[in-house]
Amino acid sequence: MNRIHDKSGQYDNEAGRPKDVREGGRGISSVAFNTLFMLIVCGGLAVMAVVMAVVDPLFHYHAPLSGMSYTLNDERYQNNGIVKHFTYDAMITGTSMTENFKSSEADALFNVNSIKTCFMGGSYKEISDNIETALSANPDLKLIIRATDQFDLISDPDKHVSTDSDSTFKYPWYIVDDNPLNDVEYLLNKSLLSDALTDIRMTLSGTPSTTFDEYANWMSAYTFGKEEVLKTYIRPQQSDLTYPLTDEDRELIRANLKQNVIDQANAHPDVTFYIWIPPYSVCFYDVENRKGTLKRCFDAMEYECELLTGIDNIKLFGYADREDIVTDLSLYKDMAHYGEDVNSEVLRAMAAGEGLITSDNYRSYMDRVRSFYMNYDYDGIYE
Amino acid sequence: MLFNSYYFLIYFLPIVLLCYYGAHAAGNKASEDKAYMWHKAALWVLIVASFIFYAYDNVYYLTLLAGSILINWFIALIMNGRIKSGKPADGTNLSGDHVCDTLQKLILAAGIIIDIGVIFYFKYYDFFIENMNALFKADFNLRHIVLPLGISFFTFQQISYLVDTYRGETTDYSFTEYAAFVSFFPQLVAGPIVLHSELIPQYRDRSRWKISADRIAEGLYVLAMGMFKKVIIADKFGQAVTWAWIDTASRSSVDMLLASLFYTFQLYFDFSGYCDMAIGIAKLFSLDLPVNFNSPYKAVSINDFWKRWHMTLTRFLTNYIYIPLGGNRKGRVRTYINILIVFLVSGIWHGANWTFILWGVLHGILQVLNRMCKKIWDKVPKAIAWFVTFFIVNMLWIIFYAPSVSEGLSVWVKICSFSDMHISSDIFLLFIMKEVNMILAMLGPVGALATTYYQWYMIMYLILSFVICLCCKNLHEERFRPTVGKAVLSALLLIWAVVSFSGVSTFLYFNF
Repeated sequence: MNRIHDKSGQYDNEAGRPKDVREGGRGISSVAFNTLFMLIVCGGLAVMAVVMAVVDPLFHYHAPLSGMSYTLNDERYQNNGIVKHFTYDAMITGTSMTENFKSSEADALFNVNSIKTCFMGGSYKEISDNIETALSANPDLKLIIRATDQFDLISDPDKHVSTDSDSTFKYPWYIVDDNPLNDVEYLLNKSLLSDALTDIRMTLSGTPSTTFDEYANWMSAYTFGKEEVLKTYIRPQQSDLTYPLTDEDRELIRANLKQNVIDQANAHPDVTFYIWIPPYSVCFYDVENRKGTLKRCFDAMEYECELLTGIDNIKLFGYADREDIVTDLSLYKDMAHYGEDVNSEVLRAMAAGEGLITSDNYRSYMDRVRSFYMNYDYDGIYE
Repeated sequence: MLFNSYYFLIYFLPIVLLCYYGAHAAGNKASEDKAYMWHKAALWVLIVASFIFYAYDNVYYLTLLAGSILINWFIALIMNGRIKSGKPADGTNLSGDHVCDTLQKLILAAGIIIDIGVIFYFKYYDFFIENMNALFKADFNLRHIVLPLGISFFTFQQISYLVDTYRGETTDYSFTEYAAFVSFFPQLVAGPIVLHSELIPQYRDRSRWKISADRIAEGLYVLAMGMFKKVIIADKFGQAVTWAWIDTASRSSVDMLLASLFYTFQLYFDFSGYCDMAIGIAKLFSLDLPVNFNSPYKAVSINDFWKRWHMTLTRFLTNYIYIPLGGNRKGRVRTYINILIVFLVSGIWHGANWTFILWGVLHGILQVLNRMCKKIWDKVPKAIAWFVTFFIVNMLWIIFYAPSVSEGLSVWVKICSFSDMHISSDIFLLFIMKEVNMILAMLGPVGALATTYYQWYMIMYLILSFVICLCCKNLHEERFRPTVGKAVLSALLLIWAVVSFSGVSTFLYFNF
């Protein structure tokens, strides 16, 4: 059996080296060992940190270097740096419903220079925080195009993916917060070093940076159409009960919109907020109908309209009444997610002022929406 | 706070080392009286640092640690008779001059009951209630108590202190020394289980108050190796183990056999890596902690395995349970019963689940069988003895890991049935190392080939693990000799581990 070495008396401290250090002739003194070790460790880590700070693939310290190519590929790691350091006067943001937007189209339609910072599965709070960072960092920001998803409308105003107990996702707070001490998680991170090296390789090979038209755009990654949509969910049994919008629900909507939309708009009267409600497909409303929550869904939407209209710098748009979109399942990959053609159409419509919801017309808009979805032949989808 | 975190390695450890040696350096220049004060200040640096280290994850449990130290210290004081006399004991304190032996026993029992009670409440309360509810069809509420870090370690450590105090083996320790001994952060949350007689005399050894280049060198080397074992090896195996156990029903027999092997290596590299880090960090403070692992997978019998695995726990159980029960002095049957009791306690100590208890009992039975058949077993060729031992240990780790006994048994059945022999491709994917791929990409066609046939990553992980476990000498097996090669290797491995602390977390949006 192997014998564990007895530690007693093995050191010759004054000499700074083990007693038998010269045995075999390959040993070095402990002082030399420590010096060499620390030089390699500190030197290696310092070089890495400098490379990271200079290339800065997450734009944490500075804007993209002139002449350098960058990959945009991770929203939650890069959006904070983008809004802090890029040059822009308009931003497109929201959930996955906004990822297929093309900023070049927004630029042409609204005569702006826009960026796109979406958050797949993002809550109102997460999106609002990113907008707040943008507003603080960029006095030139004049236009914000933001989707408000119905998925998360009735929810805690502070809901955030970082506190979602079902998520194994570790939120990169070191990118978002202002604590310089945790920047080591960015500067000494092999995955992000790999991103920095990719940027260097792209630059050397003459590959251009990812554009905001391409950033987070998932159009080419999925197949669209009725067949695909119907694969993504199981149609629920028809519920015998209907679930109304309760006072608690209304309070959640009010608090959520107040904290994450209205207060922000009121605090920045010079900025125009284009808020729009994404057009989910009829399949989405079929599921709501079967679960007995369709009326609740529209009551919530109407309450949102009530709260967001009448504010000078908020222009609210709704496209749930666009039958040409919501009934055409060839535009969708699942019950809610549509392809980039819908994003382009939404941009065009907003720029043209189509679908504008005001305090004067929101009730008639909701009447149209209710009338359409409550009388729709949902069984026909499955024939 | 974790050793394998930026905050610990880049901020916490250097600052504590600076303060600790700064206090000692001030003491070395001062007069004899003041030198003692500075030494005490250095110990308080350790205590405060240890409390910060412990409170980092949950500040509320700091009161538990502080309370546990105070109560045990107070009980030891009573046993030592120091409270009654009002003077420090002189080392011959348990002669009965102050407190009679029966009273000593009662105080000792009270101390142990308090310590066990604390562990029971935090670790076993819900388990106990669950079983009571199941047994008596009752509906007592569970408390879902979050287990305080390291409670089993620092409580066992203090039980040993109380027993040794009763035995008259503790001397005139000061409260500062005692608190610094129990809370010493390198060993606080996961061992090794250090005895007062190992650590406190080192605190007093003046030769350890100066920075020793030799100990720093060995400490850096052992710390780097431990970090590599934990971060680069164990955590990679851990990903594959988690994947396999998330849905055991849909895994194949070979998947689960591989998963069992992965866990066998994960557990060893994780725990021994952590202990290496603890030993290495302690050496940076010129302190030696006991070795906890001695190449356990080289064992050629279960008996041999337990002499090599978690050695300080085995030592604790031997000294404070097995020997007091009579050890092997009361005949063969009592010896076997004592062994079974020790392993039952070991199983319970490892966690509040029947899986741990079954695992402990099975190891106990195998240990007894090993003893009964020792003469026959010794004649078995070493290679076969090793294989059988490794296989048994590996299979028993399945029960150790399983969330429930029934799930553990179903995995055993799945593996032994060899019903499905395919290997899921996901297993191979889990072992891919982005940074290695990045380097391979620079090697042209050979690199491209290696990244295409990514299966070699898992195979290399297994081969490397077997080589380290079976062919390499234990880090602590022989005297450390600093060489250029060791400096370069350990520094590079530490860099690799450090830059692996924080990966890029992938957000999975299941609704998408």
